[in-house]
Amino acid sequence: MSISPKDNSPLATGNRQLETENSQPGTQNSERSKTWNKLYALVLTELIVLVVAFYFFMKYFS
Amino acid sequence: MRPLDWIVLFLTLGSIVLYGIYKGRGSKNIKGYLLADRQMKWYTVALSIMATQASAITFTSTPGQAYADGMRFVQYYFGLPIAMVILCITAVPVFHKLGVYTAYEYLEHRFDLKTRTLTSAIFLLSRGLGAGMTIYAPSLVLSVMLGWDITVTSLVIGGAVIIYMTSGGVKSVNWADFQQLLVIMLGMVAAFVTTIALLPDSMGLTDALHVAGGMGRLNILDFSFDLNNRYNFWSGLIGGLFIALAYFGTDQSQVQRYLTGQSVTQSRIGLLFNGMAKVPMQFFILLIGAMVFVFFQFERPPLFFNPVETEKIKASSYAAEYNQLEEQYDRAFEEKSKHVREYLAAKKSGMEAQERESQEQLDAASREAEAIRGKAIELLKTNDPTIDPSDTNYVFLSFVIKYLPLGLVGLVFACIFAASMSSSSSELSSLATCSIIDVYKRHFKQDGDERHYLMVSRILMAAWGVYAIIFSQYASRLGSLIEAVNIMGSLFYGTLLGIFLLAFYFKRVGGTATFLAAFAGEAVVFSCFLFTDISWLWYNVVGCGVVVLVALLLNPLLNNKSGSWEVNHA
Repeated sequence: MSISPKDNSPLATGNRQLETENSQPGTQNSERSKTWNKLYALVLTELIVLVVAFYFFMKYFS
Repeated sequence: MRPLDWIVLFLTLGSIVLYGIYKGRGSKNIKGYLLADRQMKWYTVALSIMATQASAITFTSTPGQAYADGMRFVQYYFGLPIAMVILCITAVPVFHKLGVYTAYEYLEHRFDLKTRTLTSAIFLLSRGLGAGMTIYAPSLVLSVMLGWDITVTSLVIGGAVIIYMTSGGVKSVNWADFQQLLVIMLGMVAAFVTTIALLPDSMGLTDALHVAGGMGRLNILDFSFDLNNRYNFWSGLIGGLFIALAYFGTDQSQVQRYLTGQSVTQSRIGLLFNGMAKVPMQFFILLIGAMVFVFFQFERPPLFFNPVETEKIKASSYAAEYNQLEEQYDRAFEEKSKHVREYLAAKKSGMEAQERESQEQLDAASREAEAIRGKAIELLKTNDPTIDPSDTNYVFLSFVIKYLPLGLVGLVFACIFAASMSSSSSELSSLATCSIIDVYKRHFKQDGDERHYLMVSRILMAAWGVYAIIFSQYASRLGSLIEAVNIMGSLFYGTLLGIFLLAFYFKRVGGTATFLAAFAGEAVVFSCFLFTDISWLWYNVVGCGVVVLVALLLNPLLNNKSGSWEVNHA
C-alpha cells in the first residue's frame, strides 16, 4: 500500500524522499553510491587483513 | 591510591560532567533534548557509539580474561564490521529520513501499533533490568578495590550521570561519551606502555610476546566449528554478526546515537568508523591482559585476586590451611618463573629440541601452580559458599593499584568510572526516550506541547537514573538471577532483529503475522536457553530465523495487509 499524498507528517515526507532518491537514475546518485561501496569494501577488507595478520602473529609468537 | 591519584580521578570525572553540561546547554524542545537537534558530526557519533558499547566491565574484565584464558575473545567482534556495513545500507537511511525518535516508532507505520508496543516493551524490560547491572557490576569491583561502600560507588557513577544527562539530554550524553572514550584510550595506552616498562630489564616486547604465545595466551584464532564453544572464528563471525546487527540496529541505546547524526552521511561514517576501530581496540585491550600475564610470570601474583575474599579467609578458621597453600604457591611460582626464563633462552637460541623440552617443563610447572590455585578456590568456597570463584574482574585492577606509578593509577580508575558512566548514560537516556515517545506520548498524552514533553523527558531521565541506582543496591541479593539478567539481552535480541528484518526486506508480511512470529521466536530461544547447551551467541541467529520463517508461513493464512509503508533503501 502506498502513502496518502495528503499525508504531510515527517514520516510521510521522509518516505517520499527515499522513494524519490531511489527513482533518480542521475549520475550524481550513482557516483555517491560508488563512493559508499568503496567505503564498505574498505571496512570489509580491513577485517580480512586483520584476520590474516592475527593468524601470522599467532603462529609467529606461539 | 595516593593523594595525586585521587586528584587525577576527581579532576577527570569532574571535567567530564562539566563538559557534558556545557555542551548540552540550550535544548528548548524534545528534538534538541532527545536527538541533539540532529546536529552531531561523525566523530561524535562514532566515539559515542564506541563509548556506549564499552562498559566498565570491558576494561576490568577483558584484560583479566586474556590473563586467564588468552586472547580468543577478540573473535566475538569479527561480525561487527559486517553488521556496520549492513546497517549503513539499510537502517541508517530509513531511520534518518523518516525522522523517527526511536527505532520502534518506525514499526508502527510499517506494521501496526501492537508490534511497536511489543518491541518497545521488550526493550524497556530487557534494558530496564540491565540498567541496574551496568551500575552494579563496576560498582562492586571498584568498591572492593577502593575500599568504598558499594552505595558510595553507585552514587558517584549514577549521580554524575543523572546530573549531566538531565541537564542537557542526549547532546550532553554524546559529548560526555566522546570525552570519556578519549580518557579511556589515553588510560589504556598509558597502562600498556607502563606494563611493558615494568617487565624485567632484559626483556622487550618481542620476548614478552614469545612468553605469552608459548603459554597459550595469544590464542587469537580458533577455526574449529563447535556450537557449544563460545569463542571461535565461526561463532564470532556468524553469531557476532547477528548480535551486532541486533544491538546496533534494534537497541535504542545504540540507534539513538546515530539518529543524532547531522545527516545520513555523518551517521554512516560514524558507524563505519566503529566497524574499523572496534576489532583493533579489543585486540589492544586483550594484549594488555596478555602483557599483565607475562609480568606476573616474574612477579609473584596473589593466590586469589579478590582482596576482600582473601582477607575474609585469612580471618577465618581456614587461615592456616590457606597460608599453607600460599607457601606451596610461592614455591610453584619460583619453579615456573625459572622455566619461563629457560624457555625464552631456548627460543632465542633457536634449538628446537631444547625449546620443546623447556616448553614441556614450563607447561608442567604452570599446571602445578594452577592446581594449587584450584585448591585455594575450593577452600574459599568452603569458607563462603556464596563466593564468586572467578577473580577475572580483579586481575587488572590489582595490577594497576600495586604496580602502576603515581598519577597513572588515578587515570586508570578514572577510565573505569568513565566507561561505566558512558554506557549507563546512553542506556538510561534511551530508556527515557522510549518511555516518553513510545509509551507516554503514544498511549497517554498525544496533545501536549513542547514544553510539557521536555519537562516529562527531564523527569523520566532523572527517574530512570534513580531507579538504576536503587536497583544496583539490591542486585547483590538477586543471587543467581544476576546471570540471567546478564544474558537477558541475548534472549530478546534475535526476536527484535527478526521483526526488523521483516520490516526492511519482506514487504508483504503484515503486523499480525510478525506479532505472532515474535512469540514463536521467543518460545524457541527460551527453550534453547533452558534445555540445551548451545552458546548464547547463537540465540540471536535462532530467534531471528524462527521469527522470519514463522511470519512468512503465517502471513498467507492470516491474509494480512502490509502496513502503509513500503520502505526503499537509499
